[in-house]
Amino acid sequence: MTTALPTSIPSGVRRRAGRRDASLLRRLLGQPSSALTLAVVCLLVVAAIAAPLITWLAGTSPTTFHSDAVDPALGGLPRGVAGGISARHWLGVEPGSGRDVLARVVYGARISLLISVLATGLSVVLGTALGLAAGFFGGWVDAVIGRLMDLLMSFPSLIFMIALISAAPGVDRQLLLVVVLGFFGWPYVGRLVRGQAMVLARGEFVAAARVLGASRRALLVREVLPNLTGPVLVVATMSIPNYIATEAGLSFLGIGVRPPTPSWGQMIASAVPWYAADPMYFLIPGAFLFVTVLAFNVLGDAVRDALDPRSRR
Amino acid sequence: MKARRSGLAALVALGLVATAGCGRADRGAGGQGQAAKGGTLHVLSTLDLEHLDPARNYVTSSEDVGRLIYRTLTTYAAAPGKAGGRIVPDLATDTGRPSDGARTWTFTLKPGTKFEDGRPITSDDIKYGVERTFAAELPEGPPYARMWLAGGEKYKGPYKDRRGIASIETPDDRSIVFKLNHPVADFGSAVSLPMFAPVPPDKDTGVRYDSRPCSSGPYKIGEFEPKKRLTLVRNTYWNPATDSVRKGLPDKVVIDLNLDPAVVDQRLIAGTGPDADAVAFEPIGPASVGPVMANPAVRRRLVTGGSINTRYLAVNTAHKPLDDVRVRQAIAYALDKDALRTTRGGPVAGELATTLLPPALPGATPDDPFPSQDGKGDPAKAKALLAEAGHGSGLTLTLDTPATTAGKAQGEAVQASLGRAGITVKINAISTSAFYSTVGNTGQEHELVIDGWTPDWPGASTYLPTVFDGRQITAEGNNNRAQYDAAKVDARFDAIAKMNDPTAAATAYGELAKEIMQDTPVVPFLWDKAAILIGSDVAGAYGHVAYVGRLDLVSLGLRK
Amino acid sequence: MILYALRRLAAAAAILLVICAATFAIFYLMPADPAQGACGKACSPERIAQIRATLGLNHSVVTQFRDYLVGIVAGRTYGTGAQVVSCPFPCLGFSFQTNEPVWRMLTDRLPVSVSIAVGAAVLWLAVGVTAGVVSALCRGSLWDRAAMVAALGGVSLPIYFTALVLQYLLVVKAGLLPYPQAVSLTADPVGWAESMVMPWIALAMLYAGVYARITRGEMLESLGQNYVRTARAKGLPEPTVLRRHALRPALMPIVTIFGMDLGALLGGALITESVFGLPGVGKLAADAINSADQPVILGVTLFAAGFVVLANVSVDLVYAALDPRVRAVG
Repeated sequence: MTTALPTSIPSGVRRRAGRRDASLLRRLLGQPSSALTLAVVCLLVVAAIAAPLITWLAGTSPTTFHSDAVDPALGGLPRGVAGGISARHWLGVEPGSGRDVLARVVYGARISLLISVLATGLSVVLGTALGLAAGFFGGWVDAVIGRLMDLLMSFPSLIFMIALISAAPGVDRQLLLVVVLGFFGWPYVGRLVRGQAMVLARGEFVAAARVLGASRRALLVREVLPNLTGPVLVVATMSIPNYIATEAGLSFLGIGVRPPTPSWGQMIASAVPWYAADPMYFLIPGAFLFVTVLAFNVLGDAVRDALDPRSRR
Repeated sequence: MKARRSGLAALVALGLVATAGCGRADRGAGGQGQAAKGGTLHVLSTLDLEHLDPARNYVTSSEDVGRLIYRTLTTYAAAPGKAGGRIVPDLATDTGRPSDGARTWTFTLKPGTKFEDGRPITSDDIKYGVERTFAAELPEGPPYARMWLAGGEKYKGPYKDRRGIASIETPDDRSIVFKLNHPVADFGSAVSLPMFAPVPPDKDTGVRYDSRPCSSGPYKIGEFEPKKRLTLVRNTYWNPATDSVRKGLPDKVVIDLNLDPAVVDQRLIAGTGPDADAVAFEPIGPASVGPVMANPAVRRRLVTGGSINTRYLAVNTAHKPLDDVRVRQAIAYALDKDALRTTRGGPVAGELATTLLPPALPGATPDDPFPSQDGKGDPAKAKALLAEAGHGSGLTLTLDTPATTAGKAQGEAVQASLGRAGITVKINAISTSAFYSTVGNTGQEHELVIDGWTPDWPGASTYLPTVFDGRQITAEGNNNRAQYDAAKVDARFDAIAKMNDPTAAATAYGELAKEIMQDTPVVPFLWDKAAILIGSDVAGAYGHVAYVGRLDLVSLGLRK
Repeated sequence: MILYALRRLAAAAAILLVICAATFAIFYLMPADPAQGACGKACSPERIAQIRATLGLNHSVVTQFRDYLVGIVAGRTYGTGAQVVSCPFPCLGFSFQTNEPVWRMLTDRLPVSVSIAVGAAVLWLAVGVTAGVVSALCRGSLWDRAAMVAALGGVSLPIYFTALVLQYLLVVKAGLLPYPQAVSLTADPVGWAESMVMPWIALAMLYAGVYARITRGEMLESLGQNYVRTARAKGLPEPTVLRRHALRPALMPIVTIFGMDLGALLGGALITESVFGLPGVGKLAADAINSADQPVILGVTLFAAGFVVLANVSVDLVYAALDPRVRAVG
């Protein structure tokens, strides 16, 4: 079972990204392509945060029915051209209900970004903690965590997520999505951190610190952890688009957030029967989803390149 | 029981849709030219055939197909509109002769009727068919034999008790007498159900009979691949002279099952190649209404049938504050019926319902106790009623809907329209398979349920008592979603059940329906219609009221 | 080598067992009632009780799990007396909604999923690897940049979006292709290809991007290795250097990922099959989710996990065959 979401981590991040760099932002802005994607990402984040303001300006809400904007005699097809795009509804309306597409798209962005960022946070915390433990302590700790990561990565994770979510009807969906995505995502962080930690633990400066009498905990916190922020930042940036796409995929399959909360995947799913009669209705949320995932992917590449010049080939 | 099932089928199929835009298309006929004998008719179904075994066939879609394969004591007239609701003789010579105050019903079989193997059909075959519905192995059929036949509560079916049930008598090969435990005025209508089709005991294969029932009608099973395709070929022993209902025109009927709804619509809108000889089995989806209406040539191939299905929002009176009639009436005023209909495809999906009984049902009289402009609801009136009931600050209710596209869309329409009156609605989407068992469980049902009912035949007797009799409320498998329990109404049900004049009973049901509406246990919003696409070479097409407006398959033929 | 293979297979079986237990636990410990889902529309208290008994839901979880495992290896029957249904080996459960053993439902749908997966895999390997190799060789060129932008775009395309765009353009607007449906390869090869070509393209656009990026990266890495320099210095002809010393090591990681991806797809392309309405294993899973048909969801999960695990083992064995060092370490 697959969402057809690539989960393989680009080879660049396997390399030591060493330098923690305050000038990361400057480097990103220095490249036109990454500056552009950074702008797109910022715009999306601002739009998501300002969703209530945007809908207030447009004089609508994501849940209000506009029965005058659709034609019942045509089965609820939006009146006017291009899916009902008008001065009142800037991106058209939903067939059947006449709900404003712009309002639903910006509120949908909130869900997408919130869930993917929180899931990324969860998988980074879990992956770093467990990966560090495995790499630093080795032995049976490493064996157990290693097996667990292998196991989770060989799960048909999409269908398993579906099974898990559909078997828990009463639970808050947004929380559940974050937990499930984070739980199945941490091994990818964990594998990386484990590898880095193993290298670092045997590295010269750790050995030097040990000679100087530093405790294990101090070593971990002061020497190993800081050296991991680079690669972890890269994996985190790269996993955000994966989570956005997976959340949309789960919503598309009908097990995302509950109605009437809008989400992009849900919008595209409800547009499927309409694709021939009202193509705008799937093109608009689809385009937003595509641009968002693309922007985060480009940004991920850029962050990797900025932190590890060697990988910029 | 049947109603619940057909209701689900309709929900799954994204919504029953019918047309008002193309006028009273009930007159039928998708085009000009006479249907001729011969050819292969294709039926494109988005559904599966649940059961073909007559003892288990209790869903309108399968009943429509069953009518091609087996005959029953009586059946519906093969006619469009309200006329299709008339019961006519089929295997029997008349619609039954009641005696003993409608406690005893006698039927005489026509001579010259045969099974597909050439053996004449006898009254014993009918008796055996009815007895099979008692078998625990075949539980899906209607409960009427178990409920009505004297001694029915003790009989365990022919597999356990070969002597048969004593209350069905077969004095000779052509006579059959049913002895009932109470008067049943419309027993002549009940025997139109597939469970009253003949089954030859030597051909009975128990649960496996489902895939190969023995034919008594114009077609027999050629090949059946469950969930994929049913091919029907001529039963050469069927004698058209004995059958005034079925035309038996095509040589072959091929029913493709489990197709994608959007693909069926698109194929029939194009209507090219072999699809010119095809008809849809289910109504077009809302997304296809626009493209069909925009194209006059396609629009001419849209056939509309009325139904006796009423869709309603059930209001669970067992939950506070819905025990207060003013709150229920506020919901009735607030509901935007037009928005609900638009999610199902707009006016082609049916007429906005204003009261319990659909106009095609005997005894129905026009009534609109909670009027509003264009059926869009009256939030101001609703707010006033809520304030009067002490809920001026609003209240929160949970709505159970099936987790289908149509179910969620309707849920959101209810949510938006009640929201205007200050009622916050939470949607509880339940997977389709668990939907009816969940809302039928009084402990799991929430405050509001989107539901509906189709009587088993055009009459209120298998609708109002089943849905509103307070004594019928059961912890599981409950049909009284409103949990409406009024002793006064229950007494009236008993009085009407004792009447043996069907016309007087219909009038009495009509009056009772109006009274129940004042209590508002449910808010009716739609009387379904079905708008069905047919290929350009198909003739004789009309929607049949008994099959929720689906095409009457027995009348279809191909043009020469 | 045989010992290694056996050890890997044993490990794979253990993983499957854990997956089985985890899935089983989710279904049978969570609040959703499988009997209610199976009871369907005409549900009475007697029928629910009867289904509970037939499904064995009145036994303890441990007993149910044991029965399930026994069923997989030896087949089993559900219920007693007149209600008995048999579920022959390998019994992955029985769907009371469709009255079919889950294994039969899976094998009925498998040809569609295999058609989609194999066709798409051929397409994306051909396009992705070629594009990656060419990009690496012409690093920094216009082609390289264009290919990498396209690859990043492909990676970012949601599959259902691509699917709808393809269907809208190729079927509705241009009328070039019919609506996809399940056509048997042997009965109607042209119809089969016509139905499959859109799912192939939709999947290949996504995966080709991933493969192009990885191939390019690996190629660049191996081109920078000392042994390539050595080979060049030895005066080997450039094509030989590229083929033997640069491409071969670069392809090793591709084989790993390819095995995993193909394994996952063989277990059903959930979204692709749903959007195109193709009755494969993925569509079966999506339908089962919608109707809460738990035995089917459980069965598909195991079936799909089986493919992933099998793919892992195959990849490992291929590696071991190619490189004896792996056997010693693994």
